[in-house]
Amino acid sequence: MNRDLLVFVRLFAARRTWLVGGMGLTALTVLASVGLLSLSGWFISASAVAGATAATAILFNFLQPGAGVRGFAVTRTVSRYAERVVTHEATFRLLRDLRVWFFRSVIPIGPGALGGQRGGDLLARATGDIDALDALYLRVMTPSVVALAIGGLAVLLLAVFVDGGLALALAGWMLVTGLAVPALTGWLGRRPGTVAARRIAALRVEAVDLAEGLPDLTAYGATDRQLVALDRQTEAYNRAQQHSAIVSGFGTGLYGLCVNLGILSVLVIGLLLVESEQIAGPVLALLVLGSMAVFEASAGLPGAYQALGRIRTAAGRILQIVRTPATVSEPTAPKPLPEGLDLHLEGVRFRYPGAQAPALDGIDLTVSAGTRIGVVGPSGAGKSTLAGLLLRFWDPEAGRIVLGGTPLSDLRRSSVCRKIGLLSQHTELFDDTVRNNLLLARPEASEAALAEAIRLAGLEDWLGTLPRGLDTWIGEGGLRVSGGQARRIALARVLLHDAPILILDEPTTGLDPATEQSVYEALQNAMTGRTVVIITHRVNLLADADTVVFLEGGRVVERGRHGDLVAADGRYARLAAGGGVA
Amino acid sequence: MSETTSKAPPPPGTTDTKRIKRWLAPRMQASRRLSSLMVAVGTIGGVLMIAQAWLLASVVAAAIMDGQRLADLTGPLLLLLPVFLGRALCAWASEAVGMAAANRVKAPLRREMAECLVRAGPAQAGESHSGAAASLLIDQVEAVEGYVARYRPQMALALTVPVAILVVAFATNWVVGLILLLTAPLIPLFMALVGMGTAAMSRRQFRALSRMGGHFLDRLRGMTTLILFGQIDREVDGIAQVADAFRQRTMSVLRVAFLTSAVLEFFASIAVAMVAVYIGLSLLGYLGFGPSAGLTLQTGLFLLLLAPEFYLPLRQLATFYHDRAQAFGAGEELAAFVERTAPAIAASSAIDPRPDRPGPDEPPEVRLSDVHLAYDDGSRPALTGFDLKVPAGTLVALTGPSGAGKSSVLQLVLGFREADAGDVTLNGTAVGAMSPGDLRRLVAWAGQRPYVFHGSLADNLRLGNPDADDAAVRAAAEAACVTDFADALPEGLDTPVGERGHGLSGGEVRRVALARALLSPARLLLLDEPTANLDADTEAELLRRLRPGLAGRTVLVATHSPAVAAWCDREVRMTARGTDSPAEAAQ
Repeated sequence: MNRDLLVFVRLFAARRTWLVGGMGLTALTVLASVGLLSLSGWFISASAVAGATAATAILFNFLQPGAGVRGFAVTRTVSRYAERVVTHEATFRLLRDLRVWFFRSVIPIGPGALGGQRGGDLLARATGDIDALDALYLRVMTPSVVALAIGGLAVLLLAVFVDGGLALALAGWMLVTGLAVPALTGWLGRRPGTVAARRIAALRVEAVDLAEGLPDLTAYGATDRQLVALDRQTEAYNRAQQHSAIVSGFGTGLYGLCVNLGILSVLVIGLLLVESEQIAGPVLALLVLGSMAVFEASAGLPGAYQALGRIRTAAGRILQIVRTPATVSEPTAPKPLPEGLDLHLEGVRFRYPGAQAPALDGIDLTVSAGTRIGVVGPSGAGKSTLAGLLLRFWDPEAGRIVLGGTPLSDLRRSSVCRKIGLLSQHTELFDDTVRNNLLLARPEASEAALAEAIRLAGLEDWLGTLPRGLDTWIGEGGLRVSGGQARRIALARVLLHDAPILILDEPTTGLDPATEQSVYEALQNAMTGRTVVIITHRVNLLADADTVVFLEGGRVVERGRHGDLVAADGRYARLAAGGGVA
Repeated sequence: MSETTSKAPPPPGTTDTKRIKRWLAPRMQASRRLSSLMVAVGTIGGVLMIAQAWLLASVVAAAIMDGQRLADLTGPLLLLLPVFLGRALCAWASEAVGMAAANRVKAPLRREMAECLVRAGPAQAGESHSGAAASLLIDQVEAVEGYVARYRPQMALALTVPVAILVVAFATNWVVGLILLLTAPLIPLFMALVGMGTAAMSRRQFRALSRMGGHFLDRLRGMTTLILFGQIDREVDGIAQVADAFRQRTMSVLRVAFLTSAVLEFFASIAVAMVAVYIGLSLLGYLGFGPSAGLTLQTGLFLLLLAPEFYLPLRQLATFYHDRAQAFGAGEELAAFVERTAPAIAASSAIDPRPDRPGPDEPPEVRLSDVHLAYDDGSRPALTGFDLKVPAGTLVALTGPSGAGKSSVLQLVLGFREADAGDVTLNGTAVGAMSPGDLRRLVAWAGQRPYVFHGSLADNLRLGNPDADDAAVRAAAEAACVTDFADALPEGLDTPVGERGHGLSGGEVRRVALARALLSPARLLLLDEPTANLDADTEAELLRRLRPGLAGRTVLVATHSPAVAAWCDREVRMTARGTDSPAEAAQ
């Protein structure tokens, strides 16, 4: 068990009552099984010995062993059922804990590192890994602990009451079946397993190429080539899987063989003990049948070993995400939220991790309360980076950003977000009702406030067409929302959130002109009475701006009012002349 | 949650299971021989197990009753070794053969799905969720594996092995045989009763599980928004609540489902206990009837060892039950996909034979006359009585607002869609009447969202012209300004791109698509928004460099850009049809 897994074992400790209970019941089931088989074996052997003469037959008390056999049978049934219920209950509780833990762990890392498309994909893969982790308890910890407990108990009992050599033999074979065979199979299977994983990844690439590249493939008559490539990868994957199955089948066979050899050893040593009259004949039957059941305790171990490899990989990947350095750290002594709303950027420079050139290089900008600032420039000029810095997704490398006299880095992120709202071109809608998607911005909002936000965002008509109105389920599992409606929902959300400073990052990008116009009209409502920073390449949004800055290569190259800049006939003027598309 | 449940298909009953089984059955044919082999091997393993029980019982009984020593018993003890080995080999073989059987089924199934996808064509494929088709080809096909490799053979083994044991038991002692026989039919009965309820429940459960996963993923992906609105703590509670609700619902199902295994466990345990008590009392001489008098310790032990083995194959079958559920779930999706794509098969988008002869050297004339096209079964009209003529060898720009139908026109000429009414002709021949090969040799296309395949940049450029030499690839790359960014990459045009390769920006991908079209020998190029996402300077440079490569070709360009429209020989303006059209949802 490596250090990564210990993190999770510690996390699991909070549920120890359930975990230990499940393990205890599992052990009890195996114990009942051992009792049932060994007692039955002893009982009929002893009966046979006693039944040989009529006199001994009469004296033989069959009631107690008979009741014992029935007792074990019932115990085994009941405890097996209880074991399954309890271990599954425990597993679901662990799954819940794991999810909450993961969610809490990634939040401080911040949207700077984990936001956006890439971060989203990373997190999507992580959910699969989290689901894989709950097997740590059910498939690894429980079988290991139970095998150890039952095996240890059996060996101890044999050593104390029967014979040291026999105990040693059983211990040896338990180690072989429980550790050596799974380890050998795991070792043999590692290479085929890696190859198979690589092959299915390659196969998936071909499938994605076919499915998503279908228009291009069809247009160029290349579908047949792609089908052949897919077939070839299928064959390669099948070969790899066949190889894996041969290895794992070998493991299964070897495991069964070793269990049987273990039983045979017990039988042979038992025969010698009967010969030397160290044990009575019927005890031999008890030992042989009992050992069969004891080996059952190790039956989960080959599976545990296999699961362990997968779990370790999953744990490593999850911890890698969780240990991503946070892009911003919360201040140790956070300052209270300032009253003022002036934003000052002073010599702000910022470079993305690993990037050579700074994304922003010496930005000085003042956004006075109640003013409207436009930020334009070609893609890659640093416009969205500026938004990220204002929302404290990142901290500047040099210079500082001051909100109402207090540096942003002295404020909690939640404080900053209370003052500054964002409307971006990426609307994150949740798989939930329209109402809940809106209330996200302010859960305690009144019906009246909700209705007002809906009206201002221009959602009324659309909601009117939905039979369930605000309670319509949207997202993956529900109604697909068009780009324009999604933007309006985002806008309503921002209105509800009601932050005094608003950052609009390309608020109308990706909408067709007519929708863009109507969303723009709704936006005017949102901008009224607020301090606004509009990041855009549409100059028509900037006619009313108090100041427009033109960014290029992370620097401000032009600054002024819309009219003045157009008159100055510089970069901005050319942008404005070219229909506003930078 | 009622909103989503109402959208989901109703939980399939037994008739649906039958339907899926019928759909799967012919596809299982390929594995028939290997499956039979697996059953044979498993049955041999069962027979060897009986032999093993007999040998063990003999040795133990001989030692106890006849006082035989180890030296006297070496014969049967040594005989155990080949039995052990045989059983091990059977276990080994059955896993290997099981996988081979599964592979026999999966490979053609995947091919069938891929062909359906291709036949359905890009128009249909574009409407389904991205990634869903790929998941269908990989995950859903793989989901059949356990059913073929484990469940189906085990179903046969759950019959053959218990019957073999029963025969032996009756031959040895009919009372024990009767105990086993009488408990046996109760097991499938109980399993069916419990299983019927749980099958439906487990399907619902499966959906709940994926919904819980969806909720969690959804909140993770939307982390930025949650942070912005300061809703983290509330969502943590939400995640915990959803997980708890899921646990409670699942456990209520599992508590019933586990009864299945409890029933099996109960009969296995009770049968062992009954056999033990019966044999013990017989050996003591308390039971004078029937075969009891003749019972020896050897036969007694033998029967005792067989009793648990009698139930084992059924218990294993129960553990493989989820393989069946998984395969049927996948089968439902696969069958639905085949059904869905079947009617969409249009001649123009059928599987193409590889172009073996060169296309025409002359640029064609394109004509659309009185074309009507609507999406969603006619509810969303895209083109109503549209006319267009693109003379051979000219550059024509199609302009107009989004949703005016520009892309639809290109899709019609490409043969991706068929017009509801009206004619689309190339050189007077209807597009629908042309063989796919002829059409592909004539037309090249640079779409709005071109796809980048895994492989090198050069491979991507060669899509329509696999045999193009390096010089031609280079020339096309230069003309489409691909070299502007490619030359900065470590390996230039040989840089791996696409899945697992270097990521390209939206603007770069469009240029790759342009180069692809230029490199193809086709004489008609359809370009969809070739300069979107480019700034004015780059756009001007691109248009300047593109021009020479278009000589001797007919070119139809859909564009928003005034610069592109000015660059073409002629501009055709299309009028807006509506506002906030649902088409944008696809963007």
